[in-house]
Formats: sequence, structure tokens, C-alpha cells
Amino acid sequence: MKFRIQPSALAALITVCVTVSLPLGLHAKSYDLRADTASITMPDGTVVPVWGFADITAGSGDGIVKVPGPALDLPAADTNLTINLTNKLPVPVSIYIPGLRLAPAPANVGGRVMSFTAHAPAAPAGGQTTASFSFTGLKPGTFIYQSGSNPSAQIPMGLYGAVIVRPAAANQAYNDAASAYDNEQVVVFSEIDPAFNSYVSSNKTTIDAAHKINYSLSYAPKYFLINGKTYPDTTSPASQLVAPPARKTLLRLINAGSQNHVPTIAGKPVRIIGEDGNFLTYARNEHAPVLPAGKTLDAILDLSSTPLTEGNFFTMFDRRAWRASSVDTTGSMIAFIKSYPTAPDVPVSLDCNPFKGDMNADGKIDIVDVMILLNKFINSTTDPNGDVTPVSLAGLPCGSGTGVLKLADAMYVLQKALDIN
Amino acid sequence: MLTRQFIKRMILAGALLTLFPLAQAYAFIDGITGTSFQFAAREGRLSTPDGGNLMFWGFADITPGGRSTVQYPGPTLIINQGDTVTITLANELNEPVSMMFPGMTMLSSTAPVFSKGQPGKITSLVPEAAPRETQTYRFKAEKPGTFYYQSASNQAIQLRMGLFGAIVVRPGSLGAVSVTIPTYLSCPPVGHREGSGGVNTIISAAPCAKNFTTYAYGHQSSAYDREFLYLASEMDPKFQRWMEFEPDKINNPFDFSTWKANYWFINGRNAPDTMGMANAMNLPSQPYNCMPLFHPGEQVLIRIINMGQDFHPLHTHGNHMDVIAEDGNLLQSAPGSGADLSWEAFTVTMAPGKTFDAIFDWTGKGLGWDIYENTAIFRPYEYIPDHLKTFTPFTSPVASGTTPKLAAQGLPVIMPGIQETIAGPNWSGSPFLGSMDALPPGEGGFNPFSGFFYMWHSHAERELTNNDIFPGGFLTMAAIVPWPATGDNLTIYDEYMP
Amino acid sequence: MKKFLTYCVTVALLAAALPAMAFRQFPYDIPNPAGGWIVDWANDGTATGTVPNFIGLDGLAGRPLVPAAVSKRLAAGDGYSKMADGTGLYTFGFSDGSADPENLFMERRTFKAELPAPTISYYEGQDYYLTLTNVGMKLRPDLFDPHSVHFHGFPQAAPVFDGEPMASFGIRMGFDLTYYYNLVEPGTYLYHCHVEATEHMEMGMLGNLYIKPRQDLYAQKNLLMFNGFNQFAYNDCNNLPSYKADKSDFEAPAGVVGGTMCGSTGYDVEKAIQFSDFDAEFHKLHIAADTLPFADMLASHYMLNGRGYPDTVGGPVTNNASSEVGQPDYVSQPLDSKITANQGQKILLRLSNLSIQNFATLEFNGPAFKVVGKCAKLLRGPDGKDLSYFANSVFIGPGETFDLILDTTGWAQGTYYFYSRNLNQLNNDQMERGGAMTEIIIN
Repeated sequence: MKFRIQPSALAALITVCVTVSLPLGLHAKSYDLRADTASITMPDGTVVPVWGFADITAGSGDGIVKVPGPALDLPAADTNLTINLTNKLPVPVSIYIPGLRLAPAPANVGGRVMSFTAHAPAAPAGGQTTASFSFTGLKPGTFIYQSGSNPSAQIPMGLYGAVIVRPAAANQAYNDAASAYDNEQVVVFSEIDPAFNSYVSSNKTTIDAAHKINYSLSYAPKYFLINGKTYPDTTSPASQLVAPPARKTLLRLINAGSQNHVPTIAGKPVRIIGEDGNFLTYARNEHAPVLPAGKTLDAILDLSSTPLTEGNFFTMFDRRAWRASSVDTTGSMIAFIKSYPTAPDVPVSLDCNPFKGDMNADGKIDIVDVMILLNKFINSTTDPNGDVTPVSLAGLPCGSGTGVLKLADAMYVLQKALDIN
Repeated sequence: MLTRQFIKRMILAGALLTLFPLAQAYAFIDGITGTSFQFAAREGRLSTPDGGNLMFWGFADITPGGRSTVQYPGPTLIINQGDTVTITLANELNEPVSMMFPGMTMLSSTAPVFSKGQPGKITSLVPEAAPRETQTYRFKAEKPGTFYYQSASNQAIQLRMGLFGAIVVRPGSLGAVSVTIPTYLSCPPVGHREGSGGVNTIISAAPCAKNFTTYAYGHQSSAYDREFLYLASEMDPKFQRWMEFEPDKINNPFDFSTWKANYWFINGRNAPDTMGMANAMNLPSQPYNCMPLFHPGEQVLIRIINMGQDFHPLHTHGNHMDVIAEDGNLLQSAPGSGADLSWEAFTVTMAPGKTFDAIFDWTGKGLGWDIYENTAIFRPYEYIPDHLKTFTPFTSPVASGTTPKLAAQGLPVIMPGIQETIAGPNWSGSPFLGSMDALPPGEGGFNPFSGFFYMWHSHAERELTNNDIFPGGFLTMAAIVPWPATGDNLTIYDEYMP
Repeated sequence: MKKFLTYCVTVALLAAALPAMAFRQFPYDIPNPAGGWIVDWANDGTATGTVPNFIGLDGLAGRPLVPAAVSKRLAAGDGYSKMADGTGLYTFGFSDGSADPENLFMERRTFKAELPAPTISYYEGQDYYLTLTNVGMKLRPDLFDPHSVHFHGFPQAAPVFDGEPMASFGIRMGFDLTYYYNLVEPGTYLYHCHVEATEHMEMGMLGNLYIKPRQDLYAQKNLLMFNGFNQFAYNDCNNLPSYKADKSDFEAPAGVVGGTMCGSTGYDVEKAIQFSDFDAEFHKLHIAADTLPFADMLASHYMLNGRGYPDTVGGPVTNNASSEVGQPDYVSQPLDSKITANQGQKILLRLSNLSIQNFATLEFNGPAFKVVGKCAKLLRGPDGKDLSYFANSVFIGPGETFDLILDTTGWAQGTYYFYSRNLNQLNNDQMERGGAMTEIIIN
């Protein structure tokens, strides 16, 4: 298919051209991160203490502690990466990236390693400590940065994030044309065991000697996260992944958790082109790629033969089908991929979403929604949420994107309200 | 303790290899064919070899003329490449059920279903059949290979309950393709499986060739003589009992973080029932067995599917498997190149939702001794350099400085006396293929053709139990049935292997 | 059938003549005047014996003699181990009694089970006679379990030497059984007892097993280097000749021994590392002769080569058998997992997993390694396509093996880590910062 350079890619290309003309030729991006405490609220209301990273880089960082931590997206032609860490946690923290080079300087106590590399010591109450990590010889690919200090306690607490190293060619994952893509999504998988987090956040260790419990050994997650969200929070438009039809989407699959997952897209195979930041000579076509703990896979969701007029809404889920309780999907590892034309494919624009037709946003489609829609139609009010026809080949309500309502829209919503598939 | 229970169960299961009332019950993949099917999703009960009995949810083939009973796993669909298949699902359960067909080109809607039952929640990844209603799915089988179907509704419960089944898509005909036999092997029998019948003729002169007419994929690198299915699944009896007996599931939910499998199934059965007869009367909802039987040198296609939640390491004793396809894709570098990216494995990690196709064969090549023990004639596919090899073993010294030698024999070492060993039910008493020898009283007996048996099992050995009882679970025995000597009519062995 | 009768009669007569058929079988052994046998052939060429010839080599200085036939005698029985958190656990296992005189064998080998079992490593082409003697379980006199050796993954195996007791047999207490293997396929395998596999393997009857390729001997005999190496994970050169029938030398190669992949699996430093785990509760119930829980098994100690970190990088581990179970202390876990190499060298890791319930994602925290072998096979397609790949971790299941090459060229000096990224496996029960982890030190 034809390759289009998107404006952002063009900007990146210009940046590359400018930077390579500089005399030094070596470039290093520097990030300032802060390790700190935070808490996140699960969809069932449970508040879980976490440790996370915040981007405090002057001029670009927002200073917000996140799980996963901020993605470190390195411009093409960068050869070095420096992370300046400010540690506000009551434990020593360090950062390492499997696959990228860092001079080892492990901290040992009593013959046992405390940190895989020099760490920022435990912060005194109300204070902070610092350390700096210099990674050299960067190579294109998808990586994970994570704490190298007591990883079995600190990584499940949330001290991890994505690292993306870009090759010189725009819109490629690697220095090989077979890794070309039009659209890119970072997908970080992880889990949370609230009992584990509660104990570690107050005791700084996984060992409960008094009760003979090792919270790491008995790690039993109840929430399974994709990009820090668990179902149903993953349904929100902001959390939905994007893979337009007629395009190739690169999914940078990253498992920062401790358990092994099998990310599967309902009905759609992917092509695995990279593993742990290494381009694979022979790509693998898979429905159910195995994504073990700590591994990254670069997967192409190739929709290049899907017509532009087609709207889809794919479900991505862990085929291991874990979730917290048997009566509710809350906590499950489920995400949604919306697949309908967006820029630059305008004017072929569709707005498809299985939630469409829920005019009063009460989470269900019933006769009330039909009445609201009819009312808006009669009054010639536009409403993208009610603009549901035509229905795509996949069966999704896809409006034209203009929001102009037709009688057919009301008929379709009525059909849904009457529970007719 | 090791084998007693096993033997007992084999008898109970009617698994006596000596009987074989229906030859067709072994050595092929059972399933249903056609392009239009009616399925029902309903509740059933299955039995486990420890005497247990568990509720499950499964699919039943209610197409007129079909088996019509609910079964675990669901009916294996055997269809042809290019077929357009219609399945109408009637839901007899009390929650929505749907069917997903990874690898098929869907011709019916694939839109996920939200907002039915639970506001704001997804109920099915694809259109569903509400309770007591039906849903129709249409797809085209564009690619050959090994696939599966499963419920795409409430997967955490419905996959654990058993709503899944295998799909085999057969490629278009390639015609007969001739494959040259390596010169270090003797030639295959003439007149067997090629349709001409009659007396077997074995020639030792090389080169020779063999014709294949069956393929897993549209390339001769996927040719096979026999095929078998290995569909894995698991159950935690605590969960199954909660599903059956908990009256207030909302207030007393099952905590999946405590879910732990304690039954492991191949094709819906636990060992030793895996090796029992297909369609056994005592296992009405578990019609499929798993006991590969084949001759030396035959190409055996193993279709591997994991419908469970856990990873399982499938280990084949006897030899490596050649893994030729993954998730229904031939491992090829370019279309038409054949399985040039295939890899060999003695253990394959079965991942949830994943399929593999692997080819296994066994000739005894390079063992260093003659598996037929010095008989003058060649058997089909015999490894010629080891033919007629003999050894002069020795015994321990009766006096210092002496090494008494024994007469030449076919094995490089002296076997321990039968009173020094504990033998298994599939041991013939003889190290040689097609021979039998003395056995300790009460041992052996499950090897009527004096074959070589190989355990094909999960190498996570905890999975070789049935709810705390060893042995059982994810275990079956593959058997190499010897070719008969020259002049014998091969059909006598076809009693075991159609 | 007549032959069989003769055979049976012979065996029966022998059994009658000798009170027990207990002996190690090795056709080339000579009895030791002091009792027992001249010990196993050492690969350094120092042993003497009557082995007919030596594979490919002439014994010149610096070129090891590799006998065409080798033997070992393993004892199978019980023992005791010490976990990295100090916990003592009752085990079953193997120990090497090749050097023990017959009359002292039982005395020396009882209650000496090692974790993991003694490493078995030989060359492609050798004839291998492995005698297994069941010395019984000293602390479980109520048990009469047979034992076996299963060479896991050996291609073209026959049931008689496969050790799988459904299809063959195990050896009873006090008796011997000699396995014969023609070591035709190089690669990384593993071995274990297959009798009552769930119980015996959980109890620790697991070991490293690997076969070095004949390409090593071809290169060393001819003083050749391929890609700068004379030792390799697999035969990776084109036109590598086979042995002559009597194994005294190689055939003449059919063409130039070389090719673009020739030497690609060469290495300087080699280490076999086996992942496993113990459920301490199971072992405690076992020694108490209690009912064994299979359903409730949950690993408490994760190990590499039978030890949890930091013992993985320490010296030989001696158990506390004398204070805990009243038996003499001995070195129960002799194998470390520490790897030391110089910058620029290549390290071959032979990985295997013999847990009975856990997969492991074994990860390296430095630069990517190359995966060159899996399941004792060079990763190469049927028409020669190079299927090796780079990664930072391998997902390894029970009964699987991988061969990794770490090329340390350009690496910063210092200590790197190799560990399970399934982070719950970094524990020795109630001790964190332990478990399945080891160090790779680059000088």
C-alpha cells in the first residue's frame, strides 16, 4: 500500500536531518524521574498504594507519579540515554533496562545483591536522594525500564515503564523496511495484588516474619492492568487503543508484570516482528502470542486490506482469562481497539462505537434512548452519539461522523433496545 | 502402588487393548463434517478416573443425525478449505453464550455486545445467543490447519466450564506426492495404505520412495500417514462445585486468584481414561480418547490445542517432534516455500488459546543395536547400519582379574532379572520390537502386539495426577506397533490400526 | 523365540549362580586388584584401560584423549539438602559411585543424594554405559520404591533404556540396571528418575545432561579454529565429516568444512544451569511418612542447580544432616551457577527446567543474548535457514532446554545478573532477594 508521511513523522524526519548535520553526531536524551508514592483507585473503589515514577524533566515533565511510569520515547539517532533519578521512597531505588548497556555497579550487602546497579539510597523522612544512570549504545526497539533494587518487591509496586528507541527511518520499528507501520500504540501489561501492595508500602519488604508470609511468594493479583487501567476503566474513550482500517498498526506489547500473559485480539492475528528490542529475521503470525514476564514483543496488527469504509471495535484480552471474582468482569485484562478511519484518511470518516445509541449515557440502551433520539431527530438537533447508521460490515453502529440524525438511526436503536442482535 | 491403580482403572474403563471391539475407535481424529451445523450450549456432567463427577458446560451437536449429547470438549469440526460454514447456536444456559472462531474469515457480525444484563459491561466479544435464544455464525475457512472455537462470553467462567472445541480444516488435494526414503533405512511396505492391498513385499535395496496423499497444509512438507488430536484443558474442582452448588453467587463470589487446576484433560479425559475406547459407554459426555498407534517410519501428525488457562509442556518420549505450524500458519518463510522455518522439540509449550501442528516419526535410527534382534530379514524402515549387530557382554568377576564373557546377544548389556525390576503394564518383557518375554507375575499385559510404548505427557508432573491421586491427568501412551515380518499380511495389524 | 528362551535360560542361570546380579557393566572395564573396577575414563586421558580406541584424537600434547566408550555408575537413594535460607529438606537423588569398590558401594552411597544429580556430559559418538544402583531410602525404610534414569529428550529412544516405568521397568532396591546409549545427537538434554515421577522429581531426582558435538574433536584434532573457536554448542559447519566406523578417526570431508554459519555456536566459557523448585511442606511431610499432597503443592524454594541465591554463587553446600536427621553431613549441593568470563569472550549457557509445576522466564539484565539451540537442536530450519534470534529472556517450561550464547564483546566489566523475571521466584521461602538468580561476572 501507499506510504503516507504523517505530519508528526515529517517533523521527526526534519529533526533527524537537523541533528545529524551537527558536528558531534552523538546525542543523548536526558530524563529526570522521581520515584515516589501514590495511590490508584480501582474501578470497584479499592484504593491501592503504589510506587511510581514521575517525569520531572524541566520543560517537559508533568511531575505526576504514574503507573506505568512515563514512557521514555527517544528520538531517532540518539545513542545515549541518561536518567537522573530523584528518590523519595523509603527504600533504595535503581533503574535498569534489559537489553541496553549500563556499566554494572551492583550494591551488595552480606554477599547478596541489593540493587543490580548503583542506587539512590533510601530517602530520609521528608527528604530525597539521587542517582544517575547512563545507558549507552542505544539500538532501536521496545524496552522496559524498571527498578533493579529488590525487583520482586519494587516492580510489582509500580516502578516500571516503557522505553522506545527509534531507528533513523520514520515510521519503522527497526532498521528494516519490514518493520514499517502507519500507526503505533504502546501497550503495557501488569497486575496488582492489593494485599501485596498494602504490606510492602508500609513495611518496605515482602516478608511478614510474624505471620510467616512472604507476599512475593504468595503473590495473587486481583487486578490485571493494560496501560495502568483495568476493565471497565479500559472502555473509556481515553483508554481505548487505536488501529485504523487500511493501515498497519504497531503494537508495542510490554509485560511489566510478574506473571505471564497471552494477549489476544478477538478474531485478528498479529505478526510478531521484534522481541526484547531485537528485530526478528523471520516474523511469526500468531493469534495467541506468549508474552512472559519482563518481555517485550513488537506486533503488527495489519489491517491494510481492510476497506476504509469498514468500522471495527476489537477486544484485546489475556487468553489466560484471569479476573478477580466470578460474578463481575471488573479487574480483567481487557482493552478495546477502535478501528475506524481517522486523519489522514478524512473525508472517509466514520464514527463507530458499540456504546453508541446510549443517548442518556446510563450504560444501557433502552426505550428512553429511542425517545431521546426521536426527539432530537424531530428537532433537527445533531448528535454524534445518535448517528448510528450505516451499520458496518462488522455489525457496529457507524455514523458518518457529522452527527446528523436520520429516522434509520432511531430504528436501529429501537432494535437494540428490544434486544435484537 | 505406581501401576496398580492404573491397571485397575484401565480395566474399569474398558480400555483393554486386547479387545478392540471397534478398530475405528483408535488412530484417527473423531469429529463431525459438513458445512451447516446446529449446536446447543448446555449443562452436562463428566466423570474423572478417581471416581469424581463434575458439572460442565459444553456444546452439543443437535444437527439432525448428530450425536445430540452435550460433550467435553465440544464436537470437533472437520471441514474443508474454502468451505463456508454456518453454525446456529441455541443457548440452553442461563447466561449469554457466543462462539468465536480465531483464524476463520467471519461473514457474520463480529461486533462486541455491551449493555445487556449488566449496564456498561461487556457481555460478549462477538454477537451472543441470549438464554433460550439462538445466534447464527457464518465464516469461511480460507486457510487449512488446526484451529478451535470457543465461547467469547464471560470467558473466565465459560472457558473454565468447557465451552470450546477443535476445528480441523483440510487443504485442497495435492494429489499423491512421492518422498524418497533415506538410504540408511530399509524400504516401506508395498501395498499398505496405498490401496492395492495384498501380501506385503519388503525390499532392502535402496533407493525407494513412498507416496503421501494426506497433508495438514497445502504443501508436501506437511504430509502425514496418521493424525491425532491433543486438546488440553484443566479444572479446579472447587470452582466446578461452586458453580454447581453455590446458591448465592453474587454475595459469595469465587475468588479466581485462588483458582488452581487439579484435573488435567486431554481431549476431555484424564489418564488413564485418555487411553480408553472412544465413545465408551461409561463416559457418555467425553467421547474422544487419545492414544496414538502407529508403525515405525510412519509420519504422525499431532494437532496440539490448549483450551485451558495454564501453560502445559507437552513432552513426547521416543523422539523429537517437528513443529511445522503455529496458530494455523505453516511455518514458512514465503508462500509456497513449505515448512522451511519448522523447528524440532522434545517439549512444546502449549500456550492458552494457541495451536501447533507437529510431525513425529520413529525408526530407532542410531540406537546402536538391532531393535528386531538379529532376524535375517529387514523390516520396513529398519535402520540398516544397526541390522544384525551383536554384542558380547560380560559379567562381574568371580575372581580378581577375570572378566567372564557371555555368548553374543542382541543387546549391549545384560538385562536385570525379572525379580530385580518392577515392570509397567506396557512392557512386553523384551527389549526388542515385536518380541515378548517373561514378565513378573501380574505385571505387563497391556501390550498385545509387543510394541514400543512411549509416554506423551505434560512435563509439569504435578499435572500427572487426578485431584491428588498419582498417576493420571495429562498423560497418554503412544504405541509403536511393529510391522510384521515378510510374508505376513499387514491386515492382521489393521485390527489395531485402520 | 528360541533365542529368547536361550537368553532367558542364560539370565536365569546367571541369577542362580550369582547371589545378586549386582554389578556395573562396561565391556572395556578391567577389574581393580584392590577390588572393584578401574575408574571411569577421565577425559584428560590419564586413566588406563582397555578401551579399544579414542575418538579422532591422537593424544598429542594439549589434545585430550576421548575414549570411544565411557561408563558411569550412579546410586539412587535418599539424602538431605540445605536451602539458601538454612532450611534442611529431605530429598531423593543420585550420586556418582563410579570410583567406589563393589564391596564398599552400598556403604559409601547410602544417604548421599545430590541436588542436582551428578552432571552427565560426554561427546557425540561415545558409547555410554550407565549403571544405576538402587541403594534404597535410608530414612524411609517403609518404602520399596524402584528407581530409573530417563534421558529426557534423547532422540530415537527405545523403551528398554528410556526409564519410563509404564513402558519398561524400574530397578528394585539393592539391584543394578545398566543403560546403554549411543550418544549420536549432541545437545542440551536433562535427566531424571521417571518412577512415580511427580513424587520422585519433586524430591529432587533431577540432573544436567548434555552431549558435546563432534565438531569440537574435529577442530581440536586438526588444530583448526572455526570463527575463532574450537568448541561449540552444536555441529554448525557444513561438510563436517562423520567418524569412521571404528571411531578411530574422521572420514575425509566431502568438501570444505566451513560455511557462513560455521563456528556461530562457538564459545569460551560453558555453564549448564537447571531451574527447579521445592515445596518445603511436601518434603517435610515426606520424611514424616505422611500423606503426600499433590493438589496443594506450592513451591517455596526456587533454585538454579539445586541452590537458591546467594548460594548459587557460593562454594559447595554441605547439609546439616547430622544435627537435623542424625546422618553424617556431606556435600549435598556441589554445583554453583556462577559464571565468570573475560570481556570479549563468549559464554554458552545450557538452560533447562525441571520444576514439576512452574514455568520460568529467565532474564539477563545486560545486553541481549543469542538463542542458538532449543530442545537439544541447533535452531536451523530443514533447508538450513538460521532460526537463531536475539532476546533478553527465555520462557522455559518444565522439560524444556535452551542454549544461549552471550557475546561479551564491548560489555562494561562488572557483575551482571541472570534470574527469573517471574518475580515471585526470587525467594527462598521467608527470605527475599534470593531464589532463581545467579551472577555473571565479566572481568
